[in-house]
Parts: sequence; structure tokens; C-alpha cells
Amino acid sequence: MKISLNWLKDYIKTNLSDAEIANKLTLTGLEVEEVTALGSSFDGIYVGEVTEVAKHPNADKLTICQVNLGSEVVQIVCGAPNVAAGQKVAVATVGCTLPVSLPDGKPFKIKKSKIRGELSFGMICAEDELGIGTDHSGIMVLDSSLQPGTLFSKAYGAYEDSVLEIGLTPNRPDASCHSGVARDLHAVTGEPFSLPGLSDSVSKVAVEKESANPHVTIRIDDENLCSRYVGIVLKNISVKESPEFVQNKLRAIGLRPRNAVVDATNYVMHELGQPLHAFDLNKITSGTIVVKSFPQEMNFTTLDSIERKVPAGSLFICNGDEPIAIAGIMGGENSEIDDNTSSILIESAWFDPVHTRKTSKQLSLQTDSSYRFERGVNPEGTLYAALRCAALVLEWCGGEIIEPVLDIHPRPYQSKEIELRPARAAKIIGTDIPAEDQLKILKRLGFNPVVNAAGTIICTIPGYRPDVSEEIDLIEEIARIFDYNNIPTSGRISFSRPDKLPKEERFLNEVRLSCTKLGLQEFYSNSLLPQSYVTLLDSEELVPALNPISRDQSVLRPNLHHGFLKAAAYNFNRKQTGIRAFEIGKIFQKGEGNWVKGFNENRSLLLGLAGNAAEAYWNQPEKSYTIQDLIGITQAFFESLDLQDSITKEVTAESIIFRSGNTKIAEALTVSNKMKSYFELDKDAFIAEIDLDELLKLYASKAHFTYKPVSRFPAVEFDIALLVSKEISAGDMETQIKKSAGNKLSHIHVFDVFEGKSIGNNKKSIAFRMRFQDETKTLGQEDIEPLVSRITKDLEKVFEAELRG
Amino acid sequence: MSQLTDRIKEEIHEAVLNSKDELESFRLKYISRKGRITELLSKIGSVAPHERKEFGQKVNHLKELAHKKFSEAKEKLEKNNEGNNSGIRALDDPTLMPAPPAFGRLHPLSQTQQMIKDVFFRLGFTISDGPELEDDFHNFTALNFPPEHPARDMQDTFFIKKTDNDDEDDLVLRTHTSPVQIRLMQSSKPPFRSIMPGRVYRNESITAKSYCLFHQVEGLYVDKDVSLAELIDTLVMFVEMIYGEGVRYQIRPSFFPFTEPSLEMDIWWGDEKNGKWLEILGAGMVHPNVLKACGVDPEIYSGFAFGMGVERIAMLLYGIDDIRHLYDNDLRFLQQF
Repeated sequence: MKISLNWLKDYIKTNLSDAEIANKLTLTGLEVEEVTALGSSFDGIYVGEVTEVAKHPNADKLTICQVNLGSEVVQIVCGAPNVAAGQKVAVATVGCTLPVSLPDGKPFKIKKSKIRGELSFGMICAEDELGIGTDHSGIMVLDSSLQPGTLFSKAYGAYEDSVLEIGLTPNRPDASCHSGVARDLHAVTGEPFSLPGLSDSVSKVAVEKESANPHVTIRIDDENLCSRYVGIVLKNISVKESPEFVQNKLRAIGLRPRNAVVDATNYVMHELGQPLHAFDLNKITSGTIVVKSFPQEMNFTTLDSIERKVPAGSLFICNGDEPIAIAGIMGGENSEIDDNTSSILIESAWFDPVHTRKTSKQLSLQTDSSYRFERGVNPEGTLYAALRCAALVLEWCGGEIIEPVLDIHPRPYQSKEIELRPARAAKIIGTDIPAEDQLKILKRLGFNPVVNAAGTIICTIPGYRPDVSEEIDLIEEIARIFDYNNIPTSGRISFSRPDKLPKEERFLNEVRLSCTKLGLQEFYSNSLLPQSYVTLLDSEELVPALNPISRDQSVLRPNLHHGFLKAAAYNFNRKQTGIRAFEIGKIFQKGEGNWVKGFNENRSLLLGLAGNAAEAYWNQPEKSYTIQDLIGITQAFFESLDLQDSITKEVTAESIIFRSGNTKIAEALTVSNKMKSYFELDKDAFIAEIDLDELLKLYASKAHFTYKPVSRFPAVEFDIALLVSKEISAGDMETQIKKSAGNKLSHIHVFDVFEGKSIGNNKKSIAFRMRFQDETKTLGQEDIEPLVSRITKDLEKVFEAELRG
Repeated sequence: MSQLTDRIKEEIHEAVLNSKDELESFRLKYISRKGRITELLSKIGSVAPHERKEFGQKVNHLKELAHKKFSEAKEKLEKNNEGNNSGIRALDDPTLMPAPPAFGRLHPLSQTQQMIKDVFFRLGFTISDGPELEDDFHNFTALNFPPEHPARDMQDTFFIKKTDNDDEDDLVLRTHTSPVQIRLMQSSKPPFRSIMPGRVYRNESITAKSYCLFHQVEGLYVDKDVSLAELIDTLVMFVEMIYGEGVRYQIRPSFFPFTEPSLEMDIWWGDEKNGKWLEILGAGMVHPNVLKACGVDPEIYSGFAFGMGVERIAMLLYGIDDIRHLYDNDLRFLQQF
């Protein structure tokens, strides 16, 4: 929201500098995000007349204009959508420097240039480029009576201002206008604050709550959605331009001046925060204003000439039965003020915030008016704002008020009283702010504090502060105006006995540590996947978002594969040769539901390998990752958590599944060609995904670890080579050997695999190295031989394995 | 006899000991127990008694000589073997580097999150968890966001399920980790002192400044006599531990539906002249309505809550100018951390 400091000073007499004002406002909760200085001497800027407009041959959005500068006609390439022949415009001529700087802070110097091949001698300016406003929707169109070649400063007058951009929080509708911001500044500084008085022309007019005005009657059909509606009829006005000082202020905050009537409604909205609307009275042909909604969807053309489908149930202002405005959002084209308007109806009303917001959202149409209504407009200020607007119209356009002013108010506002206990305030804030300071702050904010016999403070909450509804809100008001930075702090904190960290935290840290120990790089990937990818998964259990703004981030990931494969392809395209990574994240599927009903959300761990395990070096050949590498890493990961003994592995055609009992813990697989081609991945990739929720259960149930004594006796090594049929797996043989050998076998691994014609086409030779150890003695030949012979006998029986010499 | 010792002396002098074999045969011939010097000594009986002393001295001298010759030659030979005489062996070049071992690093967001956690663990906080796919009640309603309130516009929300059925609730991707505060307070009794780190979502387009998700760490402290002053102290301790003791900060009022009073903390970033205030966290006293919704009596208990974006802090600390770098998983980026 933009606040002009010139304008602000109409309501507060302040001695503070611009920077001090910005700082004070920020520290009271109206965060000033930017301060922009406006105004300049306008050297080198002249009034020009656009004499010819032609399309740029090489750019759709550009036009080539011939502009008469009085002394000469120059060609200017212009990008504004609203440029047209016959307009009088502000031209920055070659050699001049604009009052505003370029985004990088350098001066904006106008040079002769070639734009897409066409010469351009100067620039036709928008308001923001001249530093007189913040509008950049198009070039500034000047009064048609101006002579080409006139100095712009003569046509426009010198004007300087500073504009604050305030990031307004949604709880502060009172500060959505200049007087409201001035009130906050007053609360901090105590400098004199006043709202504009009502001129004699309106202060004594008759106001009626029921009877009809001779020109119009007003009826509210839906009192829930519109609790107050003020209408003022003005006749015999002549619509012209508003005074220059008004136009300057409106421009400063980025509004385009239109005519004195529309400008007056905008002016009062930004002065008092009450949105207003002016109807052409002659277009209210039925003589009756009805505030009502329709049970069906309505087609309605708003002021911006757009025909909109307005949902059933939305509140309208109607001329009898015919809608002429969407309540609180935008007026209709059919009742718009034009140059011939001589009678108007000024509307000032209170519309329900929730309803206004709903309609505005459904229409995707947020206006300055809806912005204020949906935050809550002051129900006590409806009449005052209408009278203030009428007074300005009378002053700027002449005419007269046709009495009575109608103030239809079916549900009068009941002001709230809230009791503030100073002891409570001290407890929450953590310091005693002196009672007199508290009273002063509350008074300046308009809460009319009264100290009662019990020592508590009774506040009456004004209508412009709908956000203040209980004691805690008053405590915040005191604290924020006192300034949080002034609250004394002790530099100490105190707390009761801290809780233990949950097991899960230690588990996740160990998981991360194990992964990095295994040389895996941690990845972070998007949880939302593209539509094009999830269709490949062909799953019924996917969880899509209902309203994603992009199809590329629209479905929650059912596993962690996508992130790894995308990253692998990304890195291979950037000359990486091998990827070795892990990621921890939540995955989502439809199901019973663990946290929320109907959806399973689980923590998962991905271990991924792709491309080269080793690059060619002087001491090693290039080597690609294999599925065995992945299984090895997965097992090492389990071992690092000391869980290897409770996890078994099963090899299926598609993947390797790790289980604890019957519970699946992890699955390792080779990435399919279909997936590889989706990611345009030309190297092999291997993924293991581990269910961390299940693994945590296993980890948490693990017995407390105590060390095993190391055997004092040496181990004995023994190798055997076996000839078996090719389909026998090494893993199965190993399992059998362990079973046959019993607890004296301390280690086993395959050290050689061989196949070739010499041993037969269907055969392979596989050689195991075993180490035997006993805790009570040194094993001798007489101990080993029976073991080995049992092993070979069992292998022969189960696998028809032949011992090789 | 003395001729014999002289001859042996000469032989020892002339012996060529340039290889292991020559060395070994020299050892056998002169030094070993069956060697010639021992043999000489055994013949001392046949020497005239008056000559025995001289003979003994000569033989001992021979023995020393043989040992000296042997050890010198051995040392020389070993030295030569290391250098390999003919020059330097190509593979012995110590600057010839093998492929570096695989090196796993934590993602900068994990590192930053750990840094934040470590501070709060020191300050006596524990840690709590909750779902990313959350219901409307925990994400909004219990946090004092009225339905159809503009405060909901502060966060663009991904909806997963919309329902008109009163018995069910809309489902959303959580827009903040605050719902974990609600779950924590509903599931046990005060005092609460816990942080809630996690992933949150905003339905925004992906640009250098915004991503459709990010990470937060929120914290909650509820007990008797918890005050705004103590919140400020806690936050100051936090920023000093993360950004250093000289950090310049300011605290200004703000608005969150679930805290009252609410505040934001800025730190001064950059030098005196070109620096600016950067918002780094939001906080406030837990709103009495939130405590009530969780069955905590706000007349007895009060509390504070705070929240910060992990990305924001990581980007400040490491000078990262584009949030997308954090999700591209570009190894050239990640392996710098």
C-alpha cells in the first residue's frame, strides 16, 4: 500500500524527517518496505503531440510514433499500449536525464538509439518515469489544449513528494488510508493529529434513516451482508477535472486521475479508508436502489468493460431488479459517471468482509474497494465518509445536495468494551509499563480508556479497529506503541527440566551419518512431481493437488525415484560421470492413513547409484556401477546401524527385497529403460528405497549394545572352489555354508568366479574364502577338516556342487 | 698361520658384494658359524703358545673387518634397491594420485537446519514432528485463522481434498510447521518446550526468489509466566549464536493469527552504507484462542512461538542468490558445502 507523505501531513503536524517517519512506522507495525522520492525540475522534458502512429515492422508490442515537439518532428519508438495519434504527451528529449534512476541505481539518460532496427530520438514517458507517480500501465496523456514544445514543468508545475510502500498486515484495515497511518504515527510521537472537518455545505444537512429521498429510495434485502447503506443525491453538478493538488496526490500513490467525481470517491477512500461509489442518478431509472443477491449466476459488465459471470448468491446493488454494481467490488458500466452526468448518487456502505472476499476470489477480481471491505471497514464512519465526499464534489463540481441524506442502518453498530488488567499486561509483556504511559497510548489510538474502581482499564473499541476484540489485543497495542525494542530484557532465560530428545531424532542423525560415511551425497528434491512423469507410474494410489498453479508441480511423490533420476540426468548433462547419492523425504499414497485419514505419509530413504563407479585412472580401469554395488551399499547401511542381523534379503525377477520378518524394509532395483528414456538418461542407474518408519521401529527395538570379547586365538583360513550349475546363486550357497559351518565360521566371501568351455557350458566355478575361529582354542587341522567336509557334503546334496581339486 | 690370516684379510678386502647372492655367500664364507673365521679360531690350539695372543688379535680383527664390510655392503645394496639404480620407478611418483575416495556431504539445508537445532537444543528445547499433508483444522482453524479470512491469503495453499461434508475436513499441504504445535499441545500437558523443523508448501511459481516448498524451524514454549521479554531474550541469543555476537537486529510488530502480540525480527545485512534490514524470523506470544483450542488455560499458562525459514538463513550465510540452486542437486554446487 502506498502512502504519500505530503498527503499524510494533512492529518498530522510532524517535525520528523521522511526517514524518521518511515522508521517510526516500521517499528509500530506498519512496515515501510520502500521510500520513493517523487518530483523534479523536469529539465529536457517537453510537451509533444503524437502526429502519426505506425506498427513497428519487427516487434508486435512496439509502435513507431512521429512526435511534434514544436521546433521539430522526431521519430520515437514507444512500447506503451495506450499511445495514439493526436495525444499530447510528455517527451524526454535526447540528452536529458530522467528524474528517476535505472533499477541498478545508475542515472536514466536518454540517448539516440536503435530499437529493433528503428531509430528512436527520445522517450514518451509514463508517470513513474517522470517521478510524479507510480503508475506504469501506460504513457501519461496530457491536457489536449497544451502547445507542443511547452516545457513540461510549465504544463505540470513543480511537485515533490515521498511515497512510502507499506506492507500492510491483514489485521489492520484502519491503516489502509492516510488518516489511519497518521493516527499510528500520532500514537508514537504525540504530535497533533486531526481528521478533516466537514464543511458547512454538508454539516447541517438533514439525515433520515427511513423515509425516501424525492429522487431515490434505498432498500436492503440482505441485512446480514449489508448492515448499513448511506446514499447522498447531488444535482446540477458539472463533471470536470479535479484540482491539481488532488491529481498530484492520486498520482503519487499510483492512481490515475479521471474526473472530479471519481477522484473524490478515490480521494476519500485513501483519506478515511471507506470505499465509495458514485452512480449516475439518471441511470437509476427505477428510482430505487435495492441491495440484494440472486439465486442464479448473473452476467454483468463491470466498469472495466469486462463481462463477468458472477456466481449465484453474490450481493449486488440494483436499479430495481437490474444489477448496477457488484457490492463492494466494482461498479457497472451501465451506471458509470460520464462527461454528461449532472446528478449523482454517492454510495457509502458496510458490506460483510467474508462475503466480499468470497465473491472477489470467485471472480479473481481484487480492487482497492474489495481489499478494504474484506478486511473490515469502519461501520461508524459510513455517513461521515459520504458527507466528506459530497463536500468535495460540491467544492470541485458545484451543484447541491438534495435532502434528506439517506442512512439506512438496519443493524446499528454496537461498540465493544474491553477490560484491560494492567497486571496481566505486565505478565505477558514481561515488564511493567507505567500506567500513565499505557493510558496515553490507548487514548491516542482512540480506545477512550477509563480507569475503574478495581484498578483495571475499560476501553471502548472504535469501529475502525475490528481487529481489537479482546484483552490480549489491547496488550499488543500497548507493547507495539511502547516499542518492542524498548522492552527491558534480562539476558537470561529460564525453563523447567528439559525433555529427552526423541529416539527418532537420534535415528535420523545416524541415518544421515551412515549415508555420508558410505560416500553418498545428500540430495533435496521437489516433493511435487510433473503430471507427465506420474502417468508413467500408472498407479491408482497417487495423491494429486487440486489446485496446482503448474502441471510440473502437481502430484505428491509416491517414492523418491524422480528426484534422483532427474538429478542424475542433470549432472550427466554437465559432464559428471558418476552419481552416488541419498535423499531422505516424505512420500505419499492413498491408503488407510497414518496422520490424516485416507492418505499414507511415510518417511523414506533413497540410496542411488548411476554411471561410473570409477573413472579410468593410472591404477584402475573405468568401471560402471552395478546392482551388486547398490546391494552392497544397502547392506553396509544396515550394518552401520547394526541392524544387519535382523534383515533378510530376497531376490525376485524385478528387484531385491529386504525384509525384517514379514515386513518389507527396502527394495533395490535397476532402473528400467522406460524410466531412463523419460529422463533421457543414457547410463545405468540403481535405486534402493528404504522405509524409514519401519526401520525406525527395528532400530528402536534393538537391544542395548554391549561389546563381545575379541577371541584371543588366531583365525584359520580355508578356500574351497566348487563347480555348480550356472543358475545356482552365490547368495544361496553362502547361506548354506553358514548353516553347515555353524558358529565357528567368522567370515566368508567369494574371491573368484569363473566360467568357460573347459568346465562345461552350463557350469561355473565359484570359490569361497572362509575364516574359522574359536573363542576357546586355536583351531587345528583336526577341527577344520570335519567342518569343511560337512560343508562340501551339504553343498553337494543341495546344489549338486562338485569340489574342484 | 699368519700367512693364512693375511690371505683371508686380502680376500675380504677384494670381495665384491654387489648383489644379494654375493652378500649371502660372503656371509656364509666368513661370518657364519661354519665360516672360515670361526674355523681359524678353532685352530688356535695348533698355534704356539707365545703366538696365541697375536693370533687371537688378528682373527678378531678379521672378524670386525668381515662384519664391517658385510654391513656396509648390505646397507649400500638396500639403498640401491630403493632407488633401483637405473633411475626412478614411474609408479613410485608420490604426486601420482589415485582416484579420490567417494566423499558424502550433507546438503547445505541439512547443515543449516542442524545448526539451528543445535542452538535450540542448547537452550533446552526438544523436537517434535507432524505430517506434511495436514488437515485444515491443524493448519488453519486451530491456529485462529477464521474461514474466509484474508489472513489465509498470506499463504498460497495447495489443496489435496475439499469437502462439504461437516464430518470431514479439507486437506492441504501444510503452509507452515505451526500445526505441529497444535498436535503437540493436544497430545500432552504443559510445559512444552520444543522445536518443529520440517518441509512446508506454498502454491507459488518457481523463481529465483520463491519455490513451491521450503523448510521451516518453528519453536514453542508454554509454561507459567512466559513473557514477551523472555521471547526477545531467546531470539537475541539465537541470532547471536548464528550470526555472531556483533549482529545488529531490530524487532518490529507484525501479524500472525496464532500469536498476539506478534513480531518480526530483522538483522542488518551488509555494511553500514549499503546494507539493509532483512527479515529473518517471525514470532509472538501464543494467542489465548490457540491455547484454549488445545485445552490449555491461558489464564494460567502463557507461551511464545517463533518460526524461521531454513532456506533464507542458508542463503544469507552462504551468499546463495537463487533458491533453485538448493533443489537442482547440481554436484558442482553441493560438493562445495
